Amino acid sequence: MRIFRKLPILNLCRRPVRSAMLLCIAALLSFTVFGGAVMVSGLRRGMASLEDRLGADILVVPEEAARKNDLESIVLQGSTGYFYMDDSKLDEIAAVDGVGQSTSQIFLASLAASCCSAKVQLMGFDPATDFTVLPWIRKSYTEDLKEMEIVVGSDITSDEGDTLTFYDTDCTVAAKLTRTGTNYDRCVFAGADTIRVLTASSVGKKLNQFKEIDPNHVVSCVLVNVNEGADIDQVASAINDSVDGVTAVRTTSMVSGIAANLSGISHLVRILIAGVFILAFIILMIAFTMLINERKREFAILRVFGVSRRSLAGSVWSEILLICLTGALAGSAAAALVTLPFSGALRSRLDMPMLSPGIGTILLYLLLAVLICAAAGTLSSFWNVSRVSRADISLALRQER
Amino acid sequence: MEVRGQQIRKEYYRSGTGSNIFTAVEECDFLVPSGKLTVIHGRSGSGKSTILNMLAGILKPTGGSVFYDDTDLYSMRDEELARFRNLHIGYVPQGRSAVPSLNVLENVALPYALYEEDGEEAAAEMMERFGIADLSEVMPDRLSGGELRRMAIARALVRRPEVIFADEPTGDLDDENTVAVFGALRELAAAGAAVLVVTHEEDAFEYADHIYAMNAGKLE
Repeated sequence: MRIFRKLPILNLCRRPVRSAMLLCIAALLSFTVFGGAVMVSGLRRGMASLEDRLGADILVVPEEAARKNDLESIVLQGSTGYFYMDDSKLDEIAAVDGVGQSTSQIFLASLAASCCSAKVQLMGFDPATDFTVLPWIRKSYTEDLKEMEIVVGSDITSDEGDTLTFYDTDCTVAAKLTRTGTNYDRCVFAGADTIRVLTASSVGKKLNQFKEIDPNHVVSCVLVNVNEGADIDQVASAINDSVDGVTAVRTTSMVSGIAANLSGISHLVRILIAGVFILAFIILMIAFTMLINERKREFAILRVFGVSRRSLAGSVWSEILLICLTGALAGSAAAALVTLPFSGALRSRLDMPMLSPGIGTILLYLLLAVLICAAAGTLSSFWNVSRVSRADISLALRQER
Repeated sequence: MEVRGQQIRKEYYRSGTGSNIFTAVEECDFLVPSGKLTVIHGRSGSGKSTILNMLAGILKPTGGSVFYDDTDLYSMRDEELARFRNLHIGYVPQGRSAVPSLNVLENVALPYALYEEDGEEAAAEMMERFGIADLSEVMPDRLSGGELRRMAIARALVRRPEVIFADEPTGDLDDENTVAVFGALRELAAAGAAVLVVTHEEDAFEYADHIYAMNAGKLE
């Protein structure tokens, strides 16, 4: 008979409701720790992915678009939206002092209508001059994109060789991109020529918001890298001064808004974890005090029949840790079920880039959640376990006969 | 194995009383000889359970020593004392004393099981003796007061200890079971065990070799 070793499990099974409630408290704590850590890590990875994707110092858009649109979402995160300016602006911008590389992009949003396979953001780039989208596409597709060939983001449910239709024009999927955790995962990329064909089709069907444009002579934005040693702010200012009807923005200033949001969310999650830890600590302390008080006589009987102080403390610790560890695993599993499969929904809800952490990081956070739960259980019951192991056996035997 | 209490006394700190010290047992010498059944009787609060607990190694005296033959009980480390209690002492506590998460068989075999020894056979034999053999798998919360008491006695005697302490062992029992319990204690004494019973029941006197009275902490 290995009764003494099994005693912690037997005690937990004998009081299923009480055990379940204690387990729920531990689960809530680990849910918060694990879920919070995974969420913040996902946001940080998304942010890093976004910064990787930037690759330009300055973004130049039509003046009116800068006033009316959320450029940060459209240009940096690939939210649906479009605007245009004359393609002659590209040459004017390239001529400004300090401008090194420059390339244009052209945007179009498809519709959730019969003319289109899906409502997505379409982004056209110039393969000859591009230095932002192409390096990223090259990781998944090394060929040159032919006319009417497209590359799709990881969230788009089409594979290589499939056909997608935009404004009743068929395009062939040449490749699917790796996940970024941003809205780019729901974007379609193509060479500028392909996007111009689609834009012309949208104008022809009177489905484009800009009815008077010439699709062959417009661009949506110009991306600029300054010459080495040039001051980015000064170059942006020079573009604003010398090119009419455009607004030049330093790209890092656009990202800084997202970074500030991320910092705010991280701070909020930290406060939430601390709050739940304190709450769990107090509840566990009260629960363990009650649990140990009502079992004083049982512990005294075990001592009478030969259990040492150390063994008794060990048995009580085992019971407490069993609750905390089981709760921690259950809570972390629940948090994983919520945060990992629904990271896309969370990303939309938070309107921030988010990329699920890798398995190593997830396991690390699981360990962290388990350790924090074990710490909460251990700290909250430390005084009680010490008290029970040092209790006067004869006094305990006299209680509640 | 005989048990000797030498100049043992027990005092408690109690606030709100004149001197703040309450003397539960005044200094006394006490012998529980092997092969004899010794009875202490007295009114509630007279200190009889306190003296029993000091001798049983679960309540350290304020002064004096307790010897089991030549072994000074309270000079042992906690682990040693715990094992000593397990091997040599049988204890029947006052009132209910079951471990609630164990069934009757597991409760009776507890002194063996605590050190991972196989005591099922001895437990079954002891349960048979006290008429609870058919309750092996029953949980303690399903037992009557009398059944619980018989279970506690079976557990105290299962290792056939050399020293047995019983605090009001027949409190919840009917006449038939009272006779069975005292008969068993008497038998163990006859077999060489040192037996000390604390009771307020005068029925116990007829089984006793020595009878002591406690009155307000004084042994008479």
